[in-house]
Amino acid sequence: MSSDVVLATDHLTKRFGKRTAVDRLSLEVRRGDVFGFLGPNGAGKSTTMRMILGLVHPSGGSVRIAGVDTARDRRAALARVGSVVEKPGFYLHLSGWENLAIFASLGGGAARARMEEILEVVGLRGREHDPVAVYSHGMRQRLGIAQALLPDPDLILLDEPGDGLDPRGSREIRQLIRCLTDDRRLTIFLSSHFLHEVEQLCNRVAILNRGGLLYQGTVEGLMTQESHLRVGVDRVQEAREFLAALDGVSVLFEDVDALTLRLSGVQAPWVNEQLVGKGFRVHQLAAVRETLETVFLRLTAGEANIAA
Amino acid sequence: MGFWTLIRLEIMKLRRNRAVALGLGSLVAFLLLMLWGFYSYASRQTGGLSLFREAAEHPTYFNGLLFSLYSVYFAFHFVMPVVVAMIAGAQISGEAHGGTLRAILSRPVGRAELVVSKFLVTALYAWLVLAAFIALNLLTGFVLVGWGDLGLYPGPLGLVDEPGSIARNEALLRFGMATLSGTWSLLTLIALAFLFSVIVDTPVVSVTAAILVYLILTVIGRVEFFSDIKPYFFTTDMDFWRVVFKPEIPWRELAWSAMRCGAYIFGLLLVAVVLFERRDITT
Repeated sequence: MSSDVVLATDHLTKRFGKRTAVDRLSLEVRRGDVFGFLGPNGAGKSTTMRMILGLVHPSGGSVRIAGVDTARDRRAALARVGSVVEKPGFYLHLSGWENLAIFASLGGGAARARMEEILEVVGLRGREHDPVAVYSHGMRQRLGIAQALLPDPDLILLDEPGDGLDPRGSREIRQLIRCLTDDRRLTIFLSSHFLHEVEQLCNRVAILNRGGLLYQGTVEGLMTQESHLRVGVDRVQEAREFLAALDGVSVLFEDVDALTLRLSGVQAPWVNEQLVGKGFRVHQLAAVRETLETVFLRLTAGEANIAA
Repeated sequence: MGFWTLIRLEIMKLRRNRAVALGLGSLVAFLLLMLWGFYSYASRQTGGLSLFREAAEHPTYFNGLLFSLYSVYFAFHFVMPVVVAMIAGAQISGEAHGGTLRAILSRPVGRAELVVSKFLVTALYAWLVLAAFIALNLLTGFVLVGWGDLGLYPGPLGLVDEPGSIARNEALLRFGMATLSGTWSLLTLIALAFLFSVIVDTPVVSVTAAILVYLILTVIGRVEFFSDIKPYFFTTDMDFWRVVFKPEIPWRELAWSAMRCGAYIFGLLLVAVVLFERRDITT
């Protein structure tokens, strides 16, 4: 394994009774990656993150963090890993500062100056001595990220950091993650439902569905594997039937006066020629850029398996 | 991270735990209740003398040491188990319920170390609470009831068949010994509560389960119908703590019962650690 790989799972599997939650999952997260980990509810994302952190015992396969097998030396592997798994848990009757002090001690301790610096980064300076019970959901998320930063991590795992936040809180968390990646060059493994967020933040993604890997690679690679074409045409119904019968063309969506096509091995001019040749009046031909959301929905609907 | 760091953190968390204040408050309330009961009983027995000191000067039966013995005896059977189980049963399940367990175990912390450190801190808590309660009883008894030798009479304590007594200074030493034998006895229940605590994720359930098992075995252990199986109840062995108040301490019986409690303590704790090591943290 390359020394550039911070996190690697090899055929990682988890079965709960007869149900396979994660199925032979092999991932590679490289130093400096902001790695998006996507999947619908129940896809196995949280279980995977828990296996990485040693909270859930794998039924098979292995996890290596910075080259260290977590099954062999969990402590060494986790020494420089920060994480927020699902909703961050705190001792609500203690202050934010006291909570940070406890979690700092669990990782070998952190200097007062470092704790102050981290609180500054997450924007909680001035509120650190309030009991966590009075913190808003967004503040608790930020405190969660603060405790993840305590061990001066090489890798941070964030599980749904924007979950349950209002748009402002969600944007604040996004800005914080961007700050961590841009200024501190941290490697981040980010599980999120917010595909727009992932598209903005991540350079590489993995898409999981029903425990299996559908895709792993760059965000750009995912969205440029197939070209989509929007065709404005009269007699839409007839055009749809005609196009659907052509090799290399499939109709994705149908509007009142246009069709969205997926092209494989054919180009837009050829489609235009076919339509015009059949007497259709084409008034629009436009390349459509896929969003991560459309790709995600298409993949997780079971249309294709394009694991790279 | 060292084991002592975990111990230090657990002590810090326990100090700020509201259940500790609740437990201590319950013990103080129980002490006041005992005073009231003792006062009314003494008043009845002495034909209307209403002051403790007057009662104490009447026969030698009533004094602060005897009051303390009764108070500790009853507290040990009904209040103290609840007080320690409330803390012990919530040690792991409380962390799981609050979401802090996954945060702790996502750090380089050993699961067995975590359970053992929590157990040791809970044991320390049990000893401190018991010692403080005994000290408070002795102080209250000395100030409000009076001082003298510890009179022992046949009755609910079941310590003697005929009236006897233990000299005052010796009796104080016996109370000191009772803090240790009592703590060892309570550790059996604490270990059981820990076992429940690693099995379930809701502290109310684990605490209630531990208390229920204790109460059920204690109550049915007093029913004649169960006399044949009573020796197999751990609650029967837990009762050994009070033999230190017999005029002649039966050391062999004490050691045997203490060993049986020890077997329960280490056995239950071992099972708790093994289950916790194997468990998936999904909360």
